[in-house]
Amino acid sequence: MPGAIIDGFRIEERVHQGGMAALWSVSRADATTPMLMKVPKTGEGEDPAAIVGFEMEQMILPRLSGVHVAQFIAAGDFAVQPYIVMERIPRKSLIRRLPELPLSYAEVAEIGVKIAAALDDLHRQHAIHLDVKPSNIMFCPSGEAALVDFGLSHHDLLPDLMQEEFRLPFATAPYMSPEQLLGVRSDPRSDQFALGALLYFFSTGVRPFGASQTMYGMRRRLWRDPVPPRPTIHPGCRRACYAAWRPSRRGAIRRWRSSRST
Amino acid sequence: MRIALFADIHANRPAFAACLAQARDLGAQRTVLLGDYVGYGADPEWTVTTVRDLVDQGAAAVRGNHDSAVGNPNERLNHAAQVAIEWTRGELGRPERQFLDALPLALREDERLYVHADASSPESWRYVTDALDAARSMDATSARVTFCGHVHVPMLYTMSATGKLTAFAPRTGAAIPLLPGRRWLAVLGSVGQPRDGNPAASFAMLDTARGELTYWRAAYDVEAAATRIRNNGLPLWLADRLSRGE
Repeated sequence: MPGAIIDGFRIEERVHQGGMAALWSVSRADATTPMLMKVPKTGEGEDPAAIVGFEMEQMILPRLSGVHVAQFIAAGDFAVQPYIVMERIPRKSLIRRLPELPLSYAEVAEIGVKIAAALDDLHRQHAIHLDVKPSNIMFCPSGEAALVDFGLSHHDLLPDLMQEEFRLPFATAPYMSPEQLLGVRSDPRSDQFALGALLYFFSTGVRPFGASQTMYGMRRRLWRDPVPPRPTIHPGCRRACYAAWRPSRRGAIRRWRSSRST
Repeated sequence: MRIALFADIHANRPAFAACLAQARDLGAQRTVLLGDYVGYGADPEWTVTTVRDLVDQGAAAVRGNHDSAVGNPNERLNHAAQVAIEWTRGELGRPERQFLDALPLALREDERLYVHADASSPESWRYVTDALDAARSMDATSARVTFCGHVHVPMLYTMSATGKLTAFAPRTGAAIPLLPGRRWLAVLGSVGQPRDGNPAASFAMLDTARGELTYWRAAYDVEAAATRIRNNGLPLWLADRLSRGE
């Protein structure tokens, strides 16, 4: 594939291979901006979610702007070669910090504020990410957080293809909100829940709701509070975690309505 | 190319005039008319004449059940609609009636199908009100995108390659990409008698170059249209419902 040219974009090297898509660095004669091409897995036997998620991202990404998302450049459809080309920002994934957990309160608070600002910006653009997790959060050289991978996202002004296509909830188990488990994909506070779970994880080194992938294991969060963070954790961080992912049995409506509050 | 699509005008002159003006402002280069030009409203002659002029200029137009009922007394309509159609027959001259009778039930243009109601049996005038209706209609045509009206409530359905249906209530002014790997059925709202709680006239614009569909609303003088209905002795309910959008 390196050296191939698709709609004027020259394929260079593969920079990431995920479960549903690969990322390639690409260039174009008339462009000076570094670019990435996302190509979904579409072969026989591949997960249909890869196709539907890619369609969602094709619809949503061109409608997003600002410093917290990579800017959309071009797209190709399934008739020839499906792809999305977006700007490539030199940035570091939050997932690289996992070996360092738990982090200090000051650092977790700083990370939390930056992610909350990115989510707030996204929500103001009618979109909900619905898969907030360390591997989908990048930090730009400017220090701001950027969100990637909108394959599971919801946009208020666009058809939600994931909603009808799959009866089982699609998201990353440790960060999935109770309402997502129940099939609700239209509440921005689902992202707040995931952020709370992430802050808890980064503060303690332990995932608040475990990492079970089974429905039974995931549904426990519907009725059971997680173990409170260790008493040694800073009270401010403890409050932020709880307020962000307050469980649904007391009503999702008690969760903070805006990421900026977080 | 930017295509303006109108459905269920129902002889509402101020509503249709407002939609045509807004579509022009939005850069419409072609017009598609999805039937039911008459019935309910009090300006059938002006509406049919306007539609005929648009067709003469290259617009695509199909026939709706109210248009069909003008020349066919056997078409079944509710009581108020029946009263309005009987009055309409007296308002239309022979050329206008012949024009309506000659309109096709469906038209195919590239990857698009234009039809008034469910495409699986256009002459049956079945409504497309849910995903099952939409699937039946989409299964009956090879067209990738179907446009219809008849329901008076704007809605958009899409079918994946695996046959899964998604229903979506579109927001005014928000462009929706009609992804090429999917099939789509767009139910347009009504120009002349919206029934989704919003009295503003409803229409849509398709941008074929960008592959995007946008639903629009046009404010118009509802009271003027209602007064015309009352002054012509048509059922009062047909006038009152316009301001409520029902």
